[in-house]
Amino acid sequence: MEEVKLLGAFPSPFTHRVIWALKLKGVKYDYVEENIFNKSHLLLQSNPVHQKVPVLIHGGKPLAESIVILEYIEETWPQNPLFPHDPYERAVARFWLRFGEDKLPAFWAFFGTVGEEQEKATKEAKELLRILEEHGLGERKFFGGNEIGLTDLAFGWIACWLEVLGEVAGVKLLEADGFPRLQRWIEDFKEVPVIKETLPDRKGMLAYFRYRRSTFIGEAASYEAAS
Amino acid sequence: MADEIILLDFWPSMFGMRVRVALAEKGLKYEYRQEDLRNKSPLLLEMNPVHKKIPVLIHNGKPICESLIIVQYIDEVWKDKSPLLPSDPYQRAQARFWADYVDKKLYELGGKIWSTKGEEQETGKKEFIECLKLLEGELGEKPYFGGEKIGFVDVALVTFSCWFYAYETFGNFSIEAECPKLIAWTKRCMEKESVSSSLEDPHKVHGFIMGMRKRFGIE
Repeated sequence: MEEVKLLGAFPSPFTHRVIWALKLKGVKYDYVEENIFNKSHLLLQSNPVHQKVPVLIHGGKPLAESIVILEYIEETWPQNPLFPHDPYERAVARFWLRFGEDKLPAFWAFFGTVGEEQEKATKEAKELLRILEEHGLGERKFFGGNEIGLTDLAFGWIACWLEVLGEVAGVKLLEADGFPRLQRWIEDFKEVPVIKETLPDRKGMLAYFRYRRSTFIGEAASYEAAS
Repeated sequence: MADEIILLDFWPSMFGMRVRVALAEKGLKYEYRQEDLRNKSPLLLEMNPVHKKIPVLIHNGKPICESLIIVQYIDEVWKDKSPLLPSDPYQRAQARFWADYVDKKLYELGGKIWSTKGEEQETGKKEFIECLKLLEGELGEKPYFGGEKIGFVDVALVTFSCWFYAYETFGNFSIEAECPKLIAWTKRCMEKESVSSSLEDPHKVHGFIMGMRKRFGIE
């Protein structure tokens, strides 16, 4: 069997998507923790275009972009399917995968902003969560239906990262009663054994994102002071 | 039962053109409906409530949105003719990677070229050319990104080529001078009827953008 290697970073939800997919499929892999402030030669060589994690290297062949990697994993290891077979259902799943990616900067803008700009960003993030609540999830238990699928993995950051980012930035996005379906989804998602075992350590995340926010608002605060 | 296929589109959109190329590659008959983006039809708003954008493919009443998703859908449903994605999973992933790269970069950078001035425009031009050069490198010596036949990445990228004349005029530069192999590839693609019948006349596109610039007060 060909060697599978994953270059990732512990605070990265993109990395975790791939970890979850590999574990759900029972695929053995070597994990390399990257320091994103001091990227390894292997990472830069394997992903010269974007120079980001995660990168999956299968039998020496590198792949970048988590969503691309997820579909590759699904096609290469078809056991425990995480993606529909029906072309229309696949198109719907890909739509939400794409929505999640395209809107990520808008979902997270509250984290890198302060004051009025943060209020605006928070409002926009809540509108996006509303779209997920009503159109994305709807009446389903998971985005993938009765079982978790790639779309659930892609939105896994809502289950763990959102709350940490919110705490660090002093913003609460998922108020109680405001998003009942998403709240229930978060609980169900975190109960899936593979997910439960691999959620990143909360203390470590808080420390890391506190540091990241201090670098963002250092700039934002000085801009606010100047304007 | 015969398939009913409707495409909601707006003629200058390079995203809509991708769907037209894919439908033509598969030899599919469909109804083409022009949307007025300043006065969107109830059907568009119903079929794409999240983004309210074109293109939307409606297949037997069910909507599919986002051009690259539509192209993959077309490729999977009508899989026996002119496959656009490779059969090997690694090659398929690479095709998705590069199509995603085109989506992430070209529209926004192209937009900077026609809608901004001065330093912002210069930066847009520089980065746009860098992206095209990277894509040119990825093409290498192959006739198409898909190898011997056009594939997913070809469809994703070639529709931008009818906007090149406009970018060059408003940006005052020559894409062919910077990326001759890529321009040769666009000409090769245009020899195929599926492409030439789907892409718009570059001068018409230029006229459309001129109208947009007037509307937004860019001169």
